[in-house]
Amino acid sequence: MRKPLILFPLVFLFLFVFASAQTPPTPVDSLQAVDTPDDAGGQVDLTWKPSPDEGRAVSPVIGYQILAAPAADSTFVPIGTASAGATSVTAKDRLENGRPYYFKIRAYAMDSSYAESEVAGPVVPKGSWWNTKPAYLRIVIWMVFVVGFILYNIRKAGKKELYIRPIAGIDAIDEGIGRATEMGRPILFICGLGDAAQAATLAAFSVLGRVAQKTAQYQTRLIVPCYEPIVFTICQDIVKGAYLNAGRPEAYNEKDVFFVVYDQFPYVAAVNGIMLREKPATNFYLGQFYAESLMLAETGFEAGSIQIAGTDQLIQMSFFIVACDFTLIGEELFAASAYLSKEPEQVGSIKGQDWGKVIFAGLSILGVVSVLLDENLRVHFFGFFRKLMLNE
Amino acid sequence: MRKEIPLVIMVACGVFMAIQFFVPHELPALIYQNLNKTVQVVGAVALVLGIVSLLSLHFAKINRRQPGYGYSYILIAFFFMMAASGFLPAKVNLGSFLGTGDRVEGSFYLNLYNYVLTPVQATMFALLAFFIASAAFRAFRARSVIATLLLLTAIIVMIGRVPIGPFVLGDWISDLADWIMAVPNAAAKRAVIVGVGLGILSLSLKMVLGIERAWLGGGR
Amino acid sequence: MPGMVSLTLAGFLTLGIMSFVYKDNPIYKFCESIFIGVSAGYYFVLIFYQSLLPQLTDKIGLTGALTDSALAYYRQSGSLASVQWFNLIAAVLGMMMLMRLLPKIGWISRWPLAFVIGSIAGLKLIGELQTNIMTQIQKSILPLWAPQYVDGSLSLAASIGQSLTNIVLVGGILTGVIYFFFSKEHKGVFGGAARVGIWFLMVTFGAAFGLTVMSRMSLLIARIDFLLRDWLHLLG
Repeated sequence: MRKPLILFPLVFLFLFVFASAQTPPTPVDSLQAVDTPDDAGGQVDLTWKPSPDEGRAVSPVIGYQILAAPAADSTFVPIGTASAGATSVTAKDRLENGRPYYFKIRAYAMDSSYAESEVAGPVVPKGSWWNTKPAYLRIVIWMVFVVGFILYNIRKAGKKELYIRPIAGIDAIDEGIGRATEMGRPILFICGLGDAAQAATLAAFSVLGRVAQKTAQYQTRLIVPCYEPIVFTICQDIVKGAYLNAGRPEAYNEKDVFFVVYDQFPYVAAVNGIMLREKPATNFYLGQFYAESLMLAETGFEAGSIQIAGTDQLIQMSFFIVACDFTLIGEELFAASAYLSKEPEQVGSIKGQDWGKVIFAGLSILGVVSVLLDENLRVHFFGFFRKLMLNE
Repeated sequence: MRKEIPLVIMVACGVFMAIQFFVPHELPALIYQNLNKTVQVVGAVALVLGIVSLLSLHFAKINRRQPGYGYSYILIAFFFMMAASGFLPAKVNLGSFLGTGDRVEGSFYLNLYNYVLTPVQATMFALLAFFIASAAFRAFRARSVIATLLLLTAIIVMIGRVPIGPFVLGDWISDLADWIMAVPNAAAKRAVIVGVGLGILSLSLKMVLGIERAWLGGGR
Repeated sequence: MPGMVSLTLAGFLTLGIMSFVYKDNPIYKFCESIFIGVSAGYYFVLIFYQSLLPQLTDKIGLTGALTDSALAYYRQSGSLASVQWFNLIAAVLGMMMLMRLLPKIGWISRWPLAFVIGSIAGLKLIGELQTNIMTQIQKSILPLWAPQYVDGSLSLAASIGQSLTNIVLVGGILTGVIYFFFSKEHKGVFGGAARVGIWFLMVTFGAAFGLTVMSRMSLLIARIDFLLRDWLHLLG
């Protein structure tokens, strides 16, 4: 029975010592609150100098609580936390745009005593209408350059003849249409399996427009089996419009631009069937393709068609190069419609793209030379460009 | 007016979407999020149009007694069986052989999916090997320098990447395959990406400005 | 479906579709029609339930519970919530799309199409520049002389190796870009560079082709395994 009696005063002493040691920490200093720049709103950036008691031996500061209130004298409610050592936080909970807020930081010590900072505010969170971050500014600079070059060349285009080098795959498009006309067999045009959100599909649309215009003139049958529903409706509009523009609306056959099925392999089965039964003279595969690229191209070869392909996906390009007669590699697909149209504006845009490549090559070479000089001779000259155009 | 209004809509949407990238405010973000929904709805409606196109094509084939019109009966029959059973309530039992209605486990709809679509899809995918073999065979007779280069690389990469290659020829073959993948392959890939990037940039610019309007049904 | 019948159906269709490798034949046509019919029906039902119904009806409040909340919001505030406005726009554009079925006013379907295409083009305009052009320049800035250190001392062999690798990389990128030059004749030094560029491109295509061939072969083996093992029980 003696032991508990001894323990009792000991526990009492322990509690006494600790209660007396529960000294609140020094609060954080210089709390500042500003509306977060470049955001959608509802956020406030808080910065402070940490409590000097973060490192004290007895009961150090272990964390901070962020408190907010609509008025300096109303009740502050906790809206977030920050760990010890932090000197800033972005408060984003429970803040509404267009209303003033006051903020306080509560520094908590190990023994759960705390101290509150002075009130900062008012701050009215609001959304920004323009992103001023350097990364965005850099994109604007690039846009101005590249878009500027393209637009300049489009405008200048009408004034003098621009040279465009021949591209075998594009010249083959005209030959393919001619071949079909001579043989009296149809042309098969496949816009790929991508949706309208894919750039390759958009490029295929423009080529389809040019091809349809020619088939309308030559009275050659054009078969367009479609995979994606929106692409299907657009293809119908394109072909119909092209026949109308060519002055032969009566030659347009609605049943030749049709939807097959929105499923990769059933689509391939159907198109392969069409190839073997209709025996098209020329097959076009332009747009986004996946595993089916070779199945289509090999079947087309079996059916004896001339095949012209173009896509922006590397793996499928390699398949098309192996299996097709002509392949538009990467950018050539995007240049194709401009080539075919021969409109000055379109040709000018190609020239603009080339200027983009000059910027690319120029900056790359400058960069490489600067790295060489920088690391070996300690000569720096590219820093400005690098900051302006590239670095994050 | 039939061409002008769509053009105005397109230019407005294009300019808005390009500019919203730079605007952190929540309003454009909200519009941006809802665009996706709108595209989905338009796409779903377009699918209905597509199905109408598919069926009318095959009905026309049957009407005109075009060669092979018998197969159109099969296609139409399976379409309607599939669609009808998918819309039937699960309570409807078509017999132990066919399954129930709706899209639940054991329904006719899922049975056809599992026993028709899935195996045939797997078959088609497997058939790719045949197509690759026949394409490669044709390419092996390539006579131009460029095509030979392509095939040579393909062969090195193929042999270098299977265990038997280094086993027979020594480690250099897999080292060479790795180097090809990491250096010349990576270099040309970047060139393609830059070209494609500029091509897309220019095409979208022409579309946003209304210069490229093939989708509207031809030139100006 | 009883196991044996369903497996036989799957096996028959598998062989029917495969028969096309030999040549177009009635069995292939038969299987093809079933395949397309089933797939079209499948996606019709799927998209109806997954996109059309939830996007159109539920969210603009044409169905049960949401009608009440939409109406309650309207009574309270006298206006529609922004989300409901957007749904209404989506529904109207969807309806315009459907007008295509009527020849007289089918042209109105170009409005929703213009909406879709314009938005996509606008998004691409900025996205491409950022992801495809700017980052590629950063990646192509490499040191042409790259000293390599082994155990703290300069290793000449390793340095030359790494430097050569970097030179090939930078050279490949630049000549590749030169190949894509359209407005300048490919002759002289420029033409030579473009020719080197196409060599690089061909090596890349060869590598892609080789890698894919390897992966496809394993798929064929898996499918033959199904025919022999699961269906015909020829393999143990």
